[in-house]
Amino acid sequence: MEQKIQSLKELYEKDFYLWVQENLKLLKNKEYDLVDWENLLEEIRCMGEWYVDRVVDLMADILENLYRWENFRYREYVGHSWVKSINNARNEFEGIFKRHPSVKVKAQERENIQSAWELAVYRLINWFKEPQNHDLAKKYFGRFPTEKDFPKECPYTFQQVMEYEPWV
Amino acid sequence: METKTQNLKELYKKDFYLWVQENLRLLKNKEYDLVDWENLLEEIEDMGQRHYDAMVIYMAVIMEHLYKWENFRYSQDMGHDWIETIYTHRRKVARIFRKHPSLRAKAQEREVIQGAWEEGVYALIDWFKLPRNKALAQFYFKGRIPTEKDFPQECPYTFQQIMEYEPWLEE
Repeated sequence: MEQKIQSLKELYEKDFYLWVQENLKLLKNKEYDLVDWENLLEEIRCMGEWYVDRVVDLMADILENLYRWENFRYREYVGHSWVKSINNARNEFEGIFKRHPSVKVKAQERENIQSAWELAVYRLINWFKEPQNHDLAKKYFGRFPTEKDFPKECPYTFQQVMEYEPWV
Repeated sequence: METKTQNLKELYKKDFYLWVQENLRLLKNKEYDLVDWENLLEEIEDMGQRHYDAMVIYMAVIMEHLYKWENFRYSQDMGHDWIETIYTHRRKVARIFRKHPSLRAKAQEREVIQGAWEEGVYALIDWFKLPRNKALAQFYFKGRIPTEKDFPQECPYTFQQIMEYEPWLEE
């Protein structure tokens, strides 16, 4: 039995499609002892985790643009595309939360908001490195900013991520 | 136990993320009788099916453009982007075969090739519906939009041709 599971585990790397078929067959026959649980449980976990990852990504979008709006709006009339990005991300949020209410709870965990913030800081740093923004980097920092130029802890709450509209 | 599984089945529609978590917990505890097998088996099947479906679509794109090259190239200087499309999709199919060698055997089954050909024919028909191809429909089909009947019913290409045939090198 050990050997059978071992060769199934190897199949996971070598021929994923066949690995799926083999595990399906075992599950349908209730031969649970022979299933490659290690990889299968991980695959099932990923099915759900995809939505959490997506939500963290959307929160990062919102945080990046909120922070830019509040701190780097160098002229009165810039920032319309930032607001648009925030609205788009919030709309997608609503769709995901409707289909997966539990993801909303998960999104509010401090850890997830914090990773979204770190992602947002990373994107802001890169934004200043874009050639058309070099002057802005000079204006606000006198050089290209690093992580140290941004708050370490996320400065927004979950509710602000979802609702705050400083442009209104 | 029945109600528990029933609730879990309802969760599948209402909150997929939570449904995944619940099933994971049951599987880890080896409470196999409580798992929502109906939906879970389908989800697992989809994990593999995705790659199979992609392979069929790529094969269809290749045949669509091979057939276009051989039958609807109305001037010498056209069709270069079709060749590019064919090479790009051959590389995509080859990549699927590397990751899933068992799909290479599957791709050679006559009914799989036939299914891909039928997809390709639909794409060809749609192509003639494009406003910019009006002159082509005029030239090849006397101004009407072609139907399935205007194309071979049986797939005219073998697996080897789908993967290797390069008629543009033969001229």
